Amino acid sequence: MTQLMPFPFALRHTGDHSGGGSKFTTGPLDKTEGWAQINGIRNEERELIAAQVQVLEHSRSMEKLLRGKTPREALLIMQRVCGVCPVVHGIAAVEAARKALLAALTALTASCEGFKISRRTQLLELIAMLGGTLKSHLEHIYGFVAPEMIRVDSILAPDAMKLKVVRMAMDLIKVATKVTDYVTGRSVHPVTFHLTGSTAEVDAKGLLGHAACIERAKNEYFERMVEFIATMRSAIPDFEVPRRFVALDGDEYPLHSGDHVLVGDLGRLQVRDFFSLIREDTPPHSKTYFVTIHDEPYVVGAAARWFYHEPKLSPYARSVAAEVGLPSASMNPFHNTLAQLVECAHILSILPRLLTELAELPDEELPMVAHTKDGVGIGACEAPRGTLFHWALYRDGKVASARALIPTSQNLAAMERDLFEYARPLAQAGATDGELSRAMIALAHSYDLCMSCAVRMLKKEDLVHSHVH
Amino acid sequence: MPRHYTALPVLSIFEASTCAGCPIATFAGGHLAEIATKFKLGNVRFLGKGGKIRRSNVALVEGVAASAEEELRLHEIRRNSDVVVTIGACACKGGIPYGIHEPEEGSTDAETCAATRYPRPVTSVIQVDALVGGCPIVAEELQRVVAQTLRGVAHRALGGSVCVECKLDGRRCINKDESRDEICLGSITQRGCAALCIPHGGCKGCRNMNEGANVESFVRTVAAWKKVPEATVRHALRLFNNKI
Repeated sequence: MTQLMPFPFALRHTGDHSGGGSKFTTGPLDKTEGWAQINGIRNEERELIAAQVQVLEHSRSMEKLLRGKTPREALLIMQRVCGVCPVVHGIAAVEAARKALLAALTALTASCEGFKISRRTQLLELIAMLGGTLKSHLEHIYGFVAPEMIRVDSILAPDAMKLKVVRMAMDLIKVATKVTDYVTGRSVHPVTFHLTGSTAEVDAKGLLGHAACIERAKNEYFERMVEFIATMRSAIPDFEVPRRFVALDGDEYPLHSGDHVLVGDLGRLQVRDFFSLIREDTPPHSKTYFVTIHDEPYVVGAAARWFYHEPKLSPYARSVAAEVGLPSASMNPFHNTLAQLVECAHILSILPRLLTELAELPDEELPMVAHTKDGVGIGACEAPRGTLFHWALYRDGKVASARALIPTSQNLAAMERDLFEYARPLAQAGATDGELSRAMIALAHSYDLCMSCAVRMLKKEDLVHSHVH
Repeated sequence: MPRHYTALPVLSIFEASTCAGCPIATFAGGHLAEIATKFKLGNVRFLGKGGKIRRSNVALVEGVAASAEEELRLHEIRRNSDVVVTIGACACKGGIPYGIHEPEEGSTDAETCAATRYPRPVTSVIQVDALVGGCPIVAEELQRVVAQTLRGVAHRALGGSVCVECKLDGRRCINKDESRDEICLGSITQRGCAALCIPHGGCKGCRNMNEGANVESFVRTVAAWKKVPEATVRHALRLFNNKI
């Protein structure tokens, strides 16, 4: 029987606030990618007056490093923004380069419609993204959130490792990783993304073998993984807060790249117009920028995609949504985890078909292209944690300026607001600092934070806003 | 001196400023469950075992030190670990982030870039017992290195360059192919990666450089083969090898 374990966070009181108030902090969060902590500030009457998300991660200046680099080098560098989601960074970077250098690429083809990647490359990149998203979501759901649900400190705790559902999750993560490895050469920092297409060396036997593995996982044990989450449904707090969701638009459920963004009441915008809405500020308590629209927070991620695109999910995914009790258009931040599980079901539904279609396509020789043109391009795609944008200005075929808008950065303002709205009534009801910390950590985990991506890469004065328009 | 353990050795994984790719590569492909049977886990923050730095038999450290606080933390890790292994290009030699010390072409801030203390590879902050290069690392290589260092055996690289693995694959040399504009750094880079990147644009030199590699000769030779300026070859080196 699983033993209850105390949550592994450090609790410190700094007590350095004027007026007799106090501050408490969770210390660096466990079970997140990168370094961040949550601070709560109380007044003299012990009311919670502020919640802060303090990102502790340091910048690696990735955007500045891009200057003077060719598209190929830019792609290699930007993939390494994050080792958890390098596929999406690679896709966004290569899309930005393709759009910026469209004129040079179009000269390669006789088509008057301009350069387009082949169906083979489309499928290879889409399958890579789906495999990466599946892996990332499973790691979050079963590696980060589920341990909290069953009150163990880690998925690697002996009590957790004995659980069959944990072994099932590890197996499915391995299956998803192998699919991505196969179509990208290597899932951590892929090697096959190129300006004119994918250089992946795949064959029908391998692709169909992976399709069979996915089918087996879906049919043999994914249902039990879903049932586990459904039985833990009562552990998910009922907490709603109005939010503006942002996600890419698309004919199908968007788990790939796109050119238009849905921005709630502000409608459907072209990606470049979306950039004119956003504002980036670095609060004094954090090392990364927070992003707002008209000074209001917004939310990206699985919950946002669910909000806009629920009808486009596969019937199987929608049945999983019903089973775990995910309501339509949910405004509960905790439901992001459930929305991720629904996306896992959707990916398991469609991946075998895509792998089979790819197996029927012949190999292709990619044209070489000289990088000597100027241009601006924005690559936008749906990363596991939300909409990711890479913007690049090329001069003489090399990066003159670049900028990335990261999902976690876009969510931080909303997360701070949500933490405060969630914890304030708990504080009013007499919750201790420890109880508030525990509650805020659980809410923070539902956002599936990725701090390494989110850190400030450029000083604000180095940004070249004017080139975006 | 050989080390003997009567219980499972304690393994910790620490991140400095990093993309986290190397731990992901360590755990990918089913290694997570295996690691859990062979080690007792100390600090592995992203898997729920964070907090105060614990005493470890083996500490894997990835990333670059990007601040004085991170340097202090690295020293504390060293004090609390029997064996420290740097994993990944960033920790071993600075990797891509170290490129910020190289000013971009035409820039006037050369002195500022060179004088900036951060970021720095872990190996320039603390003494380490073994290095596993790559971006990311190869999990099987890490297993071999950790097993050797736990037994007190000094790790030695496999010997040979990426060229060995490329030729075993029957590939044509990219540097000798005038029709291709990529520069391949395989001949000065340690083998052990199965020459994974060769069919996809050539080796970028993410793994540690071969001991005694004659970089100047490499630059001259490849420039002559490719009929490009030597600066073009040096530019290719700078993606992962800025400390040269």
